[in-house]
Amino acid sequence: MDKRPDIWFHLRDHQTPPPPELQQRLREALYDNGALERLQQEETAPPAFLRESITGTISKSVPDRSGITGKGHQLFRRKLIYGSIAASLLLLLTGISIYKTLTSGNVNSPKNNTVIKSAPIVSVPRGDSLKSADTSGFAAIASSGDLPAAAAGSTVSGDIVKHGRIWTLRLDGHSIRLVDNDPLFTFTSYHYPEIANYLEEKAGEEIKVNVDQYTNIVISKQAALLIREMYKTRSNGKPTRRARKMKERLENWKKADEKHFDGSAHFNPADPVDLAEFIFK
Amino acid sequence: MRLFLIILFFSTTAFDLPVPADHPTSAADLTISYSITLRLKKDNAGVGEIYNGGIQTLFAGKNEARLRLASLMRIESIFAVFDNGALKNVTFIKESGSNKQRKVLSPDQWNQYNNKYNGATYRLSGDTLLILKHICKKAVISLKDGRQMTAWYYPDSPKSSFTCLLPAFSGIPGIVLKYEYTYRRKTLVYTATSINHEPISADVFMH
Repeated sequence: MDKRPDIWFHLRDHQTPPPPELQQRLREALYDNGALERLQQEETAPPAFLRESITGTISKSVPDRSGITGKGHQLFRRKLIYGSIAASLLLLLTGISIYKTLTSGNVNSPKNNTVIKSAPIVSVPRGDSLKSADTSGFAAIASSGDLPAAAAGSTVSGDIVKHGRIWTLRLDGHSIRLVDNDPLFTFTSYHYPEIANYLEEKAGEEIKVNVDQYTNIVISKQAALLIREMYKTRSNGKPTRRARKMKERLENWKKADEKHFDGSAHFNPADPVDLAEFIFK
Repeated sequence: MRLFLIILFFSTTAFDLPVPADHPTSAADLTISYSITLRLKKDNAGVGEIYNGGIQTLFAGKNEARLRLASLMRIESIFAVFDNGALKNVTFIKESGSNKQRKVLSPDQWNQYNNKYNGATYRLSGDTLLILKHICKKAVISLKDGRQMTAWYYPDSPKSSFTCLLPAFSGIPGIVLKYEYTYRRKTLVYTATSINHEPISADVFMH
């Protein structure tokens, strides 16, 4: 088949004109005898199956633009309308949410940061506010692991993230989960061996500890020295006698503190007289 | 259709979203943070070193107050609730440690806690000290048994919620920004590191 043009091209060289009498006879048959006119007037209807086939093919290939035919199309149009309504409502809802967030943000967001703004965390520790969490009826203030990068706003807030009773301390940007929900025990329990190296690096310095989003305390040089002593080990990796003694000493202080302030006696650790007379006795 | 109904439901509930509970309580609230330090002749203060570097923060609202101590040794809050200006109750909550403690005291019980300050006398002096850009005056508080505290304050109308949680200063005509108490030649010093009159979130007083 591909060679057909070439075949016709070559056949052209072999064409032969019809005989002149044949042309004359054909003209006479068509025109002079009226055969052509008769053929033009004669009509023949195509077969029914052929018409249906052609109509079907056309209707499949060309979409119906009238918009009124077909149940499926009506369903499609209905879905389109509902979809448009849904999208509009979604847009409206999103707008409302953004508006609410922005308007409530005037109250909420500033409050979270003010104290930090008014008292930046520097060498002097500053403290502040938190919500006392407490689903169980007991204190469970928790801290957010992520500190706010900046401060702006005006309301003091207690917007902290509650992690149940587990807090997270932050040391130079490193998060440490509190052991037994206790800052001192976290440092003295050997739960985090890396604390030893950290304290060695910070030898002779105060250590700033971020308790939560708004509260930072300082471990004094002396306290850091005591804790560092506790991590001293022998060549076999076991704590030195001095380290064991230091740990025992810290644990005794903890017990004494609990006995003094958590007992039935009327001592208040937030009272300067009560606290001083306990720590300096 | 279902999608439409779901969106309609959420859009109607969105209008009824509850207002966050942390609305400011009052524009006249007061928040002061005090750093806790020790003044010693020797380096080592024993157990005191575990409190050294701590923070004590006072939140004084209109009807509520909170005093929060945060140190390496312990974290503890004292909440006071007022009803028409009168103390309703005081709640201690120990926030750190495995032994959770919560004590609720009546006003009478709270007074027993602070019995040592009953009958205290206040000697106001002309000495001044600049703290957080406030010119503070000196006051010496003498307790009945002879113990003495020194405070530095700036003249202001003291809030009842402030003096309730720090009863030692009930006779001082202002806001105390520094106070210290010496015992056995060792001094415990509280120095304000920030003072703030912005509204305090209601969440701070939730307990």
